[in-house]
Amino acid sequence: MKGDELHELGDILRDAGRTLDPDSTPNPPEIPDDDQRLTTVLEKLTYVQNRMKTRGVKPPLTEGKPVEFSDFFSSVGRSLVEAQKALDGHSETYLERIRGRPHILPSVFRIPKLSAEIKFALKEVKAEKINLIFYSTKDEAEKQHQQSVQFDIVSVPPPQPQEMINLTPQVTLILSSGMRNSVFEGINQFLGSTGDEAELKSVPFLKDQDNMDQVLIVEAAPLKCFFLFYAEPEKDKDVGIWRLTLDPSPKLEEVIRFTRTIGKAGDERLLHDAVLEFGRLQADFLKQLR
Amino acid sequence: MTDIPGLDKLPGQISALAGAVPQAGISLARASIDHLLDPVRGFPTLHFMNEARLAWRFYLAQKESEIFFFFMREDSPVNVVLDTNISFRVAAVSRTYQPMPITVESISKRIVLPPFIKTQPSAQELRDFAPQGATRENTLFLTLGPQRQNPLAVMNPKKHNLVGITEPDWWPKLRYSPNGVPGAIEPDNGKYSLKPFLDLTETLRSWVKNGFDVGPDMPFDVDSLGYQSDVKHILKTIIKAYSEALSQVRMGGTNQSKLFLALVGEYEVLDFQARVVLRLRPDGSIASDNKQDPFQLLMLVWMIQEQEKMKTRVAIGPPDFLVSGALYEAFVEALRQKEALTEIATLLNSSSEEVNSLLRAFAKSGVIFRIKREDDGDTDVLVLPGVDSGKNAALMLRGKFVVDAAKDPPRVELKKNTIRNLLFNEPNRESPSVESEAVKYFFRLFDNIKRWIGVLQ
Repeated sequence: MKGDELHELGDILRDAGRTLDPDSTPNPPEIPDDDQRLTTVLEKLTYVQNRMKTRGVKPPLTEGKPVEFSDFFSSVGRSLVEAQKALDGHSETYLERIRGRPHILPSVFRIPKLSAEIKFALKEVKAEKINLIFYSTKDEAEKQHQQSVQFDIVSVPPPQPQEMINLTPQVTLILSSGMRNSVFEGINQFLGSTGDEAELKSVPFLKDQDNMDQVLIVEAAPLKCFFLFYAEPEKDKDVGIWRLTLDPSPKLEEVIRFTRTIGKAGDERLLHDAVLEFGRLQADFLKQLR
Repeated sequence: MTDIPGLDKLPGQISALAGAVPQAGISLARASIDHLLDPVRGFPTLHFMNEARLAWRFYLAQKESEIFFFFMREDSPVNVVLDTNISFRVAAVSRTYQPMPITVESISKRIVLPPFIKTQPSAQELRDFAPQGATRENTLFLTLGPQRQNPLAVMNPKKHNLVGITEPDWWPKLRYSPNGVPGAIEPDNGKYSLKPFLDLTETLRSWVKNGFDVGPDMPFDVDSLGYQSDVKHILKTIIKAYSEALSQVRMGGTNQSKLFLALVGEYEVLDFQARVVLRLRPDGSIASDNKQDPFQLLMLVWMIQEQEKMKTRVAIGPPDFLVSGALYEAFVEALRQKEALTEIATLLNSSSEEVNSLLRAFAKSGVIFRIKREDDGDTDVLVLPGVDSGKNAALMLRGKFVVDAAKDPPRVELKKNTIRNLLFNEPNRESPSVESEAVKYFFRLFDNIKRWIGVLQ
């Protein structure tokens, strides 16, 4: 890289930070308060830019300190991600501040693309590693920087191929009535197949719809099962967790169940109250969907 | 074969360079992953290495009695015997087939020869269009003109140094046959006519201007170049560099976790090409000093991928040969400076204004070729053909220039008192001829063209 060109990479990142997504660039009306707000945001952007200049992308400029090629790329990439994270923080602040002011378009700040060209010399080349050198003086840089690389880093939405979905551990709270009905049907099928009245009674949430709406159903996709959390509204110590598998045939198992106080600490009550509170919120939500 | 220390490491270096790009993609994905899994803050975004374009340059230079491998520019690059630029892209691709590593042997090799060179003239063609005594070995057989309608046979071009020094019987002989009508054998009374040289100039100019790499290719057996050939060694090294880079980019990431592979995707090496300028001896080995009667060869090497089939395409071109572009314009501009115009006007017994006007008109279809490199500048010959008073005319100048091609725009300066007039034919002469000094340069060019073909056959 020519002399202090690598220093300028910080500037490139800074400029990239200035490049707001054109589709979401705000165009606030010239009201003093909004101008002031925008100034604040821009000040924060400058802070991010300055932060980017001093973090990660600071180049090794001495001949005695070669840098590995892949490390160089990595440091540029890390700086970019850091910069975007910081911008996200400021986007959040900005959105928070304009809430309730519909005349200001909501906006987020993004770095859509980073392009750079680096010229460099080589210190040592082995089959596996390439060590780069950046000369600081202009004359030396012109003479020695005979190799070059240009690169583009773009910001894209993450791919969602099936493989990635399968590889990402996910737990999902089931709110869809269709899926919830399937779960309850599975439980009924299982209990019907056992023909055991006592077992039927041991599942407290099957009494009525209100109770069922308070059951938190969490799908643990990688484990191919559902976990059900339920707290009895009338009994402040009755809380339990059940596990349902549907394949090859429905099977419900009790994971843990508290029906009375164990010890003085009352830790099962904490679980009860948390599940009950969340269950009530969910029930209210589900009622609104009907 | 010349021992070239460092050249054997080139494939490893190129593949390491290429392999760093998908590695960078993995690093970026690693850095993005937190951001990706935190949808609350901003858009979930993946920072993605879309493409990297790499340019790699190295030299072989003679230092004292040995040849060294350099990545850096030396202060005095006069004795550079090999100057190579390799460029390629590593880009994210969407592939529909299973990528496989490739080997040098699996890549087909093709060559593009200048279309105006007939490498294997028939006995009949030699009888009809070449001087008596011409053979395939001692004769360069060209077909000049836009339709390749003008055969030109040049016998013994390597005797160019004898022109003007010995009796004409010892000079190279040529026979130019416009439109296939057998012409006279030259020199005639110790003179060569101008027409074949102007036709050659125009043919070379069109060839370079239209892209000397354009044209049909034919199979090329690199191994047939012989054990001593450094051209073979260098070509095979470049092909190996490509195959290792491609394999590294394709297969290097396979040890990564499936998650990162899903995020990063696949990369490919694209548009791999090498521009190689060599100073060679007639046997195709690198010329380490000027005593070995060296000549220069320019090769362009491309790697072309058609689905899973790989092809190397080698084209030979004229090194140090300009027909247009910023550097060409800079040469013409150097001649149009006040002092240069005065010098040329004195040589031509003309005025600066007339010379300026002549240069402006003739420069539109000229060629410039370098004939010598020295510490204090290059010696170049400028052939500027044109039409004057309705007849073909040509101006041929030789001068010493200081050239800085790396500047933007390039800078060219004519050294004082170095310009020589080699030829300015009078347009009113019916059969203009070329003086011996100018002829020497054309025959040297013929000799070089013959050698280009020779080292690749």
